[in-house]
Amino acid sequence: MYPYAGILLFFLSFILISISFFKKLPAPSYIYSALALGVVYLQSNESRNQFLRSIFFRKKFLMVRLIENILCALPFSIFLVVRAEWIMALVLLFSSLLLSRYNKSGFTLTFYIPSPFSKRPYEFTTGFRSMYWLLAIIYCIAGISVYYHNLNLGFVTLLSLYFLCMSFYAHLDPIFYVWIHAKSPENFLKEKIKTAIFYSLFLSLPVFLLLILFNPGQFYQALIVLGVGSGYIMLSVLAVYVNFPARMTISHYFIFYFGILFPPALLFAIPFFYIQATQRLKAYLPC
Amino acid sequence: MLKIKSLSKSYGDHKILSDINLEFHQGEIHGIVGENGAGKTTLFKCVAGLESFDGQVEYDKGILKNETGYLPTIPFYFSNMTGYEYLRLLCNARDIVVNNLDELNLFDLPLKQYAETYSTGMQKKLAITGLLIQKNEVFILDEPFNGVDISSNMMIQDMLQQLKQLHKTIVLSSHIFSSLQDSCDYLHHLSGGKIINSLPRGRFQEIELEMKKAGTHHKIIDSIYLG
Repeated sequence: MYPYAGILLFFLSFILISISFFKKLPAPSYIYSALALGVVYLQSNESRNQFLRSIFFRKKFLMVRLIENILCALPFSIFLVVRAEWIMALVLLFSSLLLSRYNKSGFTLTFYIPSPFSKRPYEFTTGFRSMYWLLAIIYCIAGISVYYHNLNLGFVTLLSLYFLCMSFYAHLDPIFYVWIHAKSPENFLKEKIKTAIFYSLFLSLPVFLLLILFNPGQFYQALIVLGVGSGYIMLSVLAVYVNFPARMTISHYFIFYFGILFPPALLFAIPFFYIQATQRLKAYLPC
Repeated sequence: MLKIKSLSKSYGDHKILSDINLEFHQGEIHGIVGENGAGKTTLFKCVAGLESFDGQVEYDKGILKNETGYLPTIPFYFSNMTGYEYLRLLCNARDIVVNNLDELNLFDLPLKQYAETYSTGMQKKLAITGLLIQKNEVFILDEPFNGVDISSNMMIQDMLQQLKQLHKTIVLSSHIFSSLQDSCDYLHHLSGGKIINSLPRGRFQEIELEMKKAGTHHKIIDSIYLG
């Protein structure tokens, strides 16, 4: 039952987020299509394509990639069609077809992208390096929001920075990377949360300052967005360990998304996740 | 001293380890040998505290986990994490302050590169460097010689002897019998999830003979190629 409930929840969230996207943003079809292409682009991941190449002949491999990309783009295209954005839907599907021919080659980087988060690896260090391009886009949109005096868009970009930071915690920690710490579960979590809040503030502060510089009257609103974002990031950190070493259960997912959609619920969700996470970590951090 | 008492481990109905009893003293190097699937890695994970188990692991110098360095068979590195950052992560995890990691780069690794792009041997060397930087008292090394070049292999052998002189407790496994013969003070033969023989240096040949199987593979290869 759980996988079906998960799929249903996923599609419901997709529809809700898409609707709010079109309500809140200016020129939403362009940003929505760009976002969809970003999701499709993720399918050209190097290691998974190397694996696919190793098990399929070229013709089948290309077919698999084509189907993958179409399946990824389809929900977005359908939504665009529903919004009567026919051309954008077609452009998205066609671009997805083209992207299926683009598969990152297996070359190895002999240089590295400097990260401001190297002092305390690893979520922000690795996340920043894989998502810096998206960060640049978000900063650009923040600039556009100020240029067009669209404060709502500014707030959305501020919050989207936090969503980006949350994505750094979307993986499951390997047990080894928890086990290596000589800390109690409480100290381990506190340090993780501290790092996450500090680094996410570091990324969001330029947008925050930009917004309040051009809209000084909206200081408190911007501060609330910052506070909610920090709550989101705390919840995301705790979500990694709430059912460690396994992924969250369906009830955890429910609480998680409820906290995201209804921020006051964070006041309940964060302590609840914290208590559960400390319990789960005791087996690996017996201090 | 590290003492393993009646350690057993099962995955569902499948018993992996059964009633393991071993003692590892400071300043000794112990080798665990066994075929693929004998349970060496599971035993190491249980002793390190990475897996739950039935039985007891006693350590008389504090919390074992906090003084143990575990080298997995294949170390895992996150994408986009440099060698420097991996070592820094290990230091942060134990609140160890190291000002210049370059000085501790004993294998001359390209620490500015992403660890994920290292060769198998380099990844192993990075993991070993990390274990040393953490100033561990107990070393649990799963296949430390696997994939490393000859000179590094000799260096690791030498390093093990130095750690032994420093009264560290070392447990390792290897499929290269000669490496174990050169390094270990004791060898334990793990088969079918049980320790079937434990012998001191000088009697390792007995275990080597135990491990030599009757040549059933000749028949199978003949049947494949000759019909």
